[in-house]
Amino acid sequence: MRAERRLLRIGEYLIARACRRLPIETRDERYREWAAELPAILRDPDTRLAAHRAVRMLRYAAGTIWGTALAGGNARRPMAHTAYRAGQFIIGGLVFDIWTRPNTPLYWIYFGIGNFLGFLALSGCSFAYRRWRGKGLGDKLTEAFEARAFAGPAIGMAGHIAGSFPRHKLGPGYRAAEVDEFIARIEATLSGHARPAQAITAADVQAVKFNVTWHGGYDERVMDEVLDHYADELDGGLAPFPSTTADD
Amino acid sequence: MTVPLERVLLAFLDDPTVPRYGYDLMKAAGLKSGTLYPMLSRLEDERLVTSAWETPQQDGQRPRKYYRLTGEGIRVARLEIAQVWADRPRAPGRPGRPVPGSLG
Repeated sequence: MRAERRLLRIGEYLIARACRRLPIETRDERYREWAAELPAILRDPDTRLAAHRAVRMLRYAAGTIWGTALAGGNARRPMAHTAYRAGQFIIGGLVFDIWTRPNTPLYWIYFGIGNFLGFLALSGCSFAYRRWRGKGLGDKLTEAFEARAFAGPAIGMAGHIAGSFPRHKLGPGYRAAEVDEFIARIEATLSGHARPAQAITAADVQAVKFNVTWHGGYDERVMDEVLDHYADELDGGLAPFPSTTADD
Repeated sequence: MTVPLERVLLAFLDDPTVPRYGYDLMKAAGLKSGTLYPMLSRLEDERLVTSAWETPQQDGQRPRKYYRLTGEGIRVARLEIAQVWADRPRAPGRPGRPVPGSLG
């Protein structure tokens, strides 16, 4: 059963990564809970194919990472960053190997060109990745908003992810500080802490305009989705679950 | 109420006395772990669902955590689902209920 143990190790690694984003008080318990499900999935009698069970187990483990993506923390960034640098190095090195003859005077020039091309290629990849991930995170945000509409404003989106909406490194995006401030005001309105002059209505959310920045701004598509949800919430369209207003 | 939430509640209501494990619920509701667990923890915060660790087994397996609707949870869930189904216009296909065994 060595293969099984190795699979479990991979699953546990993924879960550990997911748990790193959780607040420290809940981390350990969550890890134990999720890790305990892994062997159960691997031995699920309802699924006949062992490979199918393995895929399910890994999908389960990977799913926990998505589930904790909104809980704050920055586990995603350093990993992407490391992969980016390593990729740049590998591609740069390959080009360098193909083009250079050792001991030529142009050795270092080729080295520079190789690394530059590697950098360009990787920039392109990471740009595409970020566009794709921006969309993916948008879906996650939608889910989070639905969960929030259910649990009530107790779950503050701004508290979770202020400053950490997907950004555009290069290219037009909303100015982060303006958006953060606006969302903080919406949150204050929803939780009833806003002064009347500061309170925001759904119409305000529909009409708001942010300045555009060309570096480090928030992805417009994601933010538009977020703001639409807030508008619905302010409208009372996504009413909290009845138990939050129960009379007990 | 959202469709994933409705499915989870339906899975619980199948037999509200039976404690359900996370994976079990995923299968029954056809949800991904990343969707299910945040929902469960919110339901738990709302005291509609309660969880407990199973007693440690002899075979050295880690104990699993199981979830169950509270009395209040059963009441609210039934009410909510009845309301959703009453409000829902006659859509093609059956409401909410996932295909058994469908996952993520």
